[in-house]
Amino acid sequence: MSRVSARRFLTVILFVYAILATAIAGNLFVLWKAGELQPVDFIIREQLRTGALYNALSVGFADYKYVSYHNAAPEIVAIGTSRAMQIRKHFFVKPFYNLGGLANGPGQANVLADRLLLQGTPPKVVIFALDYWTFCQPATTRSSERPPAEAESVHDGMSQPDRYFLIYRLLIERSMSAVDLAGLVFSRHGSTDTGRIGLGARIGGSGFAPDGSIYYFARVDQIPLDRRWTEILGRMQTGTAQMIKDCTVSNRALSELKRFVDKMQAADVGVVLILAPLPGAVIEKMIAEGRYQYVHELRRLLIERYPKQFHDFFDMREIASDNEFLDGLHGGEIVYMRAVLSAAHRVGSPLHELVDERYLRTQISLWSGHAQISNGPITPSFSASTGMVP
Amino acid sequence: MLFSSLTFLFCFLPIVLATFHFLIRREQLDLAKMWLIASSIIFYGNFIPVHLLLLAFSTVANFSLGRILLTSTRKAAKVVLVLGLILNLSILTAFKYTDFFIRNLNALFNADLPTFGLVLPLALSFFSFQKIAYLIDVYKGGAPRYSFRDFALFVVFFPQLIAGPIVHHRAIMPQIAKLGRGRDAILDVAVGATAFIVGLFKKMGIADSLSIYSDMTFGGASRGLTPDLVTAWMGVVSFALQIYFDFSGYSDMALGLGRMFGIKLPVNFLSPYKATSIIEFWRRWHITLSEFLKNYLYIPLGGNRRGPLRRYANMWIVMLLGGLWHGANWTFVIWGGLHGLYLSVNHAFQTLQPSATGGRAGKVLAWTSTMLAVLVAWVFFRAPDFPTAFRMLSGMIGGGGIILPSAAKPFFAFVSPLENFLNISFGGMAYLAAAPANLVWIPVALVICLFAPNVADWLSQWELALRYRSEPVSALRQIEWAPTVPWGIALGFLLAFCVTYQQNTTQFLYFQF
Repeated sequence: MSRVSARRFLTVILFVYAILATAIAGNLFVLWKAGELQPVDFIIREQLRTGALYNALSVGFADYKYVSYHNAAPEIVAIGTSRAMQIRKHFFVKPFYNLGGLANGPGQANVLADRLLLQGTPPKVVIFALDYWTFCQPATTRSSERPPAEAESVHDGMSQPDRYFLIYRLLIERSMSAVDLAGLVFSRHGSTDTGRIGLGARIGGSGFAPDGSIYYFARVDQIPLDRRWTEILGRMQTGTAQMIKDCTVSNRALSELKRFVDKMQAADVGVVLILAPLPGAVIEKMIAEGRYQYVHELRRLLIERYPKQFHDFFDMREIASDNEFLDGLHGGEIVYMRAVLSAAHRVGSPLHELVDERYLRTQISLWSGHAQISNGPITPSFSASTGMVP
Repeated sequence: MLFSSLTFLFCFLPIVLATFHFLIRREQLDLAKMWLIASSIIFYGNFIPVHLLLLAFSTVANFSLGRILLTSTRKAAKVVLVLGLILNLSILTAFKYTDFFIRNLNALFNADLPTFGLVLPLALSFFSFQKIAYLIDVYKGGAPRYSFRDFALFVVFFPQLIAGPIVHHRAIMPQIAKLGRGRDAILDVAVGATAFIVGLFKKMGIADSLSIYSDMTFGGASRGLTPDLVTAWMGVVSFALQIYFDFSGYSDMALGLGRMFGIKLPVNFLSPYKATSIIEFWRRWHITLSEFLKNYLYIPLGGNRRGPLRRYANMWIVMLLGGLWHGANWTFVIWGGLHGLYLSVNHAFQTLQPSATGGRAGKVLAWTSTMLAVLVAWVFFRAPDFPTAFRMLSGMIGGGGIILPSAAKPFFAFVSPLENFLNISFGGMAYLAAAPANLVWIPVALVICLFAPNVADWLSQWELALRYRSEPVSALRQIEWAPTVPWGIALGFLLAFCVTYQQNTTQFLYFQF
């Protein structure tokens, strides 16, 4: 075979290689402009200095939360899914950090405990926002007690997304528009001086505050209530995701929860278990559907097994209106203020001396009936940008 | 820095390769060698920088011992050789087996001695063997005097440094001595790039896609769950395919990289899952390790020269130590022991029935029994402990029942009387729920394993590797490679697929050894 032929062969390969290299370089440039390539320590320093919100799409957020957690050295910690993320630092008078998003159920809570909470000095209190669906054992799969079990050593937020072609994927999925892209590329701002760091914060709908809690940028109060529940009611109709029907209560999840509580108590850490709330409209639909009996059974079991630690906030219709919910799954800040205040009032509650009761009461009276409030103490730049004032 | 990482592909490799060939074209051959040494040090230091000290110490010490051996009297040389062997084996033992030894002492005497938690330096097992071979050969008079620069390049040359192939100085040093002379650089890069891209596909396309099934199944077993029959077999077959494509993919990448720099490395895999006997399996699997063990352990122990019993004993010793080489865990020893047993049985059978062929049916039977034996041994290789391995084996014979998809229930109505007896149930299948899309890779992997030529075969005309032994023609062998534009386009697509498919690149399995 001639040398010319080999040269042509290599030219083709190099051409493809050059396209790939250019695509990767372009992607990295956009990520850099969005602040995604900054080291975690730098991001956290910036957040503490400016109150910027952070939400990266190209890296799992576990590293970020771990480092922030260590910096905060909290006495109170909230864990759970995104439904724990509205619990904020200024609810309390002692250092607080929100690890919401890292534990999607009791199994992962144990992983988080082993990897973080019980390493070094543990916090004094852990608030675990439980999600009813993590206790669902579907009726249709006899193998659900078999593998795949929850991973032994990983929890949510630890996976590393495919970052080298992320921008193109976002464009194809229409999670990012060409206008967003142009805005990022041609922005005269540095990667961290817009008050929002990371693609999720720059072009997405939310960002983590320095205390690990989350802020949504959309003005939810302006969204009609029925539109807020559309997605979750759709899932209820199809019986998918959080709305699987005809479950029984999973013994495995219950035993994982017991393991978690025992582990915390052995380390002298107070545990507050709360069943995170749903809006009244969704609860009514679930009751009408008649195929979510396991939620009631779960509530009964938790009350029976954890009379001191467990607080049933699943149904808050008596104290919180549906207006205070962000969507069909997530309560707003006021909802969680009410829950935390209520939990602190129980006799013997580990939260008793730790909540800022005056602040909570003031905010609740000011913002009752709202899904979002302005939080000057934590993110002044965010409050200013959304123009929300009481 | 993994070969499959984008940092390696788009940063390290182009810079190192372009500079190397630039220096070669300028006839700066010495500088080109120094450049390769420096690049290899950066490559190795990128993992755990402090381990560079160990690599440097080991290289300097072995080179010095080699020099002393060359000038010593026979008696003194023996002492130096023993010192050299003690040095290399001590380093290997200290890092790899100290904690294992302490854990066993603790278990045996119910003691509570603390372990050291030493991190095994990458490639230690590989470069220790490489240097042991060098010292023994110098002692035997089979190694000439090398310059330190060439010796250092032989040891640290990054394509083979981390996970082999275990290169022999006699094969590599002559190539290093005339590095860059009389070679067609364009053809070297074209052939090398082809092998590299195919290896990349084997690793990233196939091995990484299959890892989820083996991880899931063995993970479940390690948590006390006995998998059902189908899941257990899926897990073991997936692991067998994963480790083959992972390791042989790595080896192909190493061969390709070597060739890009004008150095031919030895073949490490020759389609081992086509083997119809365990003896043949070991002639095709991790060939460079097998050769090392044969030349530097089996033959010195007496090989097959001292009667059949001693021969089998030697085989067992070699395989047990080979198992232990893979990891400081009794499961690896059992894996090696099983293969020692298989080999003994195979050799005994051959002695009794030297001309047994059995026709086509016999070959199928031989292949099936070979693969069954290999799969059973893989269970011990993959399992972190014996309870996990036994749960997997129990699952493989139906101890965890049989779970079939719900959709299949109507088709199995006839077995309903046997449902309880066989513990058959219908419901969710773990691996289907975990990653249904990845299932497509299992038939792809099987077809490649069983019917496609291996890379060395495929590129035999272009002398990709050293010591190539031609395979009988297979159906897919007809697709001959040549450095043409259509092949460029095809491999360009494969490269683009690999790079864009890259998800969570897992570590190469053999890095841990």
